[in-house]
Amino acid sequence: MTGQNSTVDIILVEDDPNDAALITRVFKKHNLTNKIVLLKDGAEALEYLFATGRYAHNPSHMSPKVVLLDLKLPKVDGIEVLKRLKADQRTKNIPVVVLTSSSEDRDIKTAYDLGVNSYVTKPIKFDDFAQVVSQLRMYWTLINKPYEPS
Amino acid sequence: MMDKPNQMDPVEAENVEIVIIEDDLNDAELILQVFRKLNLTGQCIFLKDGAEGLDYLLTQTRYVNPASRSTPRVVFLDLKLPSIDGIEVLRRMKADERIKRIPVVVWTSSTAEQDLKTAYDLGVNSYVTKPTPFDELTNIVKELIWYWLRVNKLPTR
Amino acid sequence: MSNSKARQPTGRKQGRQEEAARRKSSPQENQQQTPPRTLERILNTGPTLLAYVDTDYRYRWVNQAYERWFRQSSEHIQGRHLQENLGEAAWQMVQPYVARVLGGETIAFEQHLPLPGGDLRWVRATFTPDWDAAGHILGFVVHAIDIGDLKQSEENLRTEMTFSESAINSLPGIFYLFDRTGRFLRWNRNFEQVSEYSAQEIATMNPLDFFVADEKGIIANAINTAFTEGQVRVEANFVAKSGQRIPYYFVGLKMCVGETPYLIGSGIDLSRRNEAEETQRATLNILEDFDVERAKLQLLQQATMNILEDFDEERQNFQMVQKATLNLLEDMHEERHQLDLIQRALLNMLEDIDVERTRAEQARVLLEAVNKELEAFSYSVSHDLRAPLRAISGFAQAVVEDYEPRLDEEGKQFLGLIQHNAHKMGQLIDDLLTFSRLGRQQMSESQIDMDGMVRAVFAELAALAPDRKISLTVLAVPPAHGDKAMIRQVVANLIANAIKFTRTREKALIEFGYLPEGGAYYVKDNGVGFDMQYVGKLFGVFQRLHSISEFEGTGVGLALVYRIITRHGGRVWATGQEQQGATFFFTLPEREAV
Repeated sequence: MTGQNSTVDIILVEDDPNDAALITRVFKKHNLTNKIVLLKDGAEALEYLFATGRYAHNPSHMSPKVVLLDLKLPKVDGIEVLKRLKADQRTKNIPVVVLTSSSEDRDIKTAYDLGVNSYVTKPIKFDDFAQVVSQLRMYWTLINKPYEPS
Repeated sequence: MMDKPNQMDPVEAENVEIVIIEDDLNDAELILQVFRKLNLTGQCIFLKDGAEGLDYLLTQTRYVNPASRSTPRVVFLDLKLPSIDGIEVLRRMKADERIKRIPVVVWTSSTAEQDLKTAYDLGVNSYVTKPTPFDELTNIVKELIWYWLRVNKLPTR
Repeated sequence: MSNSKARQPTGRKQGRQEEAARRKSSPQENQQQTPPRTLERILNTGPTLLAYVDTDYRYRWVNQAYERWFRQSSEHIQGRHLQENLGEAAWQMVQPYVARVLGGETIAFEQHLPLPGGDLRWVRATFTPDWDAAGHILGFVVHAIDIGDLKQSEENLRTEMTFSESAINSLPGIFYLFDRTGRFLRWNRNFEQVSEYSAQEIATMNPLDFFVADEKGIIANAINTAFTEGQVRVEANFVAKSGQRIPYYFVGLKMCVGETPYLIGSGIDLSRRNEAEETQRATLNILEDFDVERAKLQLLQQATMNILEDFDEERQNFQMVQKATLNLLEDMHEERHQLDLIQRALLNMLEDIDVERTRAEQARVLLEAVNKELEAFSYSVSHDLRAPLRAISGFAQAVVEDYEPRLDEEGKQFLGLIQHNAHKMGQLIDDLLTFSRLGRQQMSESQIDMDGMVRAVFAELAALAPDRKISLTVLAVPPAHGDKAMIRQVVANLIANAIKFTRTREKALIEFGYLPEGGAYYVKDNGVGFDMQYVGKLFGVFQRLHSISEFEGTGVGLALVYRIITRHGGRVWATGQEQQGATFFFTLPEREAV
């Protein structure tokens, strides 16, 4: 029962619906074949990525091109999700990019300590925001080569 | 995609921000050209083998202030290197408390799956294969520089 | 066998005879007893000069010492006349002695001889006549020794004695030194003067001679005490030759020179009190020179000090002084009490200041906390206000992009307006944030190159409007003092305004200069200007003198300028005329920043 959840390209963990919509739009706009999954809180993210709870039917191993992870998430926050992802053999090789409005040093340091691949802050102005998301898309779907076990 | 300015903000271009560990002279030359175009020749350093690279990183990084200006913002690491190879360099970097937070981008012509796996296992931040059409190399390098210098954020302290 | 010895002749005659007799006896025998070499040794070693001179005053023989002394060899000297060797000056001195020895007299003398070559040497010489068996003088023997050192010592001693003499004579009191028998050995001139006796007389007198009958006993006892106990002081009337009696105070110390005891001391005329101390001091110095044991010196000092104490008048003075001092102390006590009160008041003041300071500190901490909160508040307000803006802009953009074919002109226009307004609101939020932050920000101070800054700012702003013709003229402007970032903001706002309000002009002319009288910088433009009757409104927040349709702008820019300049302690004002351009002035006084 792999179905729709095979070959997910981008996992977006974002609780703000506006941001979620705008980000998704950018990714989709440039490559309609990009499969994006939107998860709205940390708990859902963990369930999805570890194929538990409501996502128990997910394949046991997933290799999206990138996980875009907001930090301020309800239920389980982004740092916790990051920690779990990088601690588990099944998920540690997945590129995780923190995409958050927080530019606090503490968060940045913690993220790097946990092995985050990249840390990006959301610009305040829309124009810049759009540019950054576009860059993210370009880099993590086209330039970076993820590990995809055959 | 919007145009990026060709010149970096001069305020930030003060110390070495990019370390390139690359033994192929042609590739190095090409990369350097991109840096020239972006006016960043003062912010990069080229090292041609793994041992030299590690040595530079370990001596240039101030332990007391790990995210200080003297710490590079990214290391572009070729895998095939004389003396200590890229994987070993990566391993040692990620194992050393002082420099393990520096983003490492493996930049190689190898597409071998084993290299990929090992690199990600060791915690590489990004893995980029050198494109075979040569002219694309310049674009890729530009993207790399732009991403790791401007989009990616490091702690300030 | 008879044991009686023939009685030997005595005296000189006997000597001569013996001498002659010896000569007559075997010379060989004598020679055998003292071999020539030994004789040679005896005659030529030692400092003694030996010579033999004949009746013609010629040297017959001299020893090595003689040679060395005269720096001549014996060959040179022998055969010479005395005069020739000694030199004229020395010969004159020696000649009388030579005459006498050749007359048969043995002579000894000491002379300071001037020798040829400039030397002056002290010499002690003995001339001994030499006569034959018949008693004829053959010549004489010279024994001489250089006594230069000896003479020097004598000289030193003499000088020393003269010095001591002067010292003793300089004493204001009377000074005396006599032995156990009462024989005066030393005394000073004062002694002679006071006693009216001459030196010769004193030399024969006894200490007791200077006192009247009943006091003699006292003095005798005192002298005794001195010799037995070491020191004494006694008061008595010193009687002069004329019979005059002067009350004196005597001090005596026993002093030993070798085994012999002497009494040394001084006397002070009690009728001349003020010399007491002087005498004491002088006496002490001299006594030191006479090598009195220090302990005794101290006793003497004590004794003399006591003299002063014993003076009634002195004691009275002292009492008066004492009383005065006590009064002074009482007054001081009063003073001290006052001081105490003042001190206490000061302490209270300091405590109050401390309390104030603590309060100020607390207030400052509180202020900082409030500032931080305000900052955080502003930040989150800005953030939270902006988030929806981002969405608005984003979605408007999305509609424009994604639904383009389905939109008519008006639709596109509306969407454009949505974006425009969202952008504007974002700008307003930024301005408000800057404005509010400004009040709370720490100002730093540095020298600002106004010329450079204006040009740089202009370049940046002009680049944003590449299609327009804008010229900037920068006149001579002095450097300013202030917060660089803030002043940059001022310049940027003013120039941006100038650029904005000259938009209707074919060519925009902007001038930046400085007015020495008043010390004001200014930005002048040839733009649309403004009506001076509204000048008061210019710098208010959100105040606008032009409709939004004419010129966009949030109206915060000039308020910001006003606030920054005011914080620097300067003034801002503007002049303008409708359609004739505007000039904005600001001053930056030195180091008056608030």
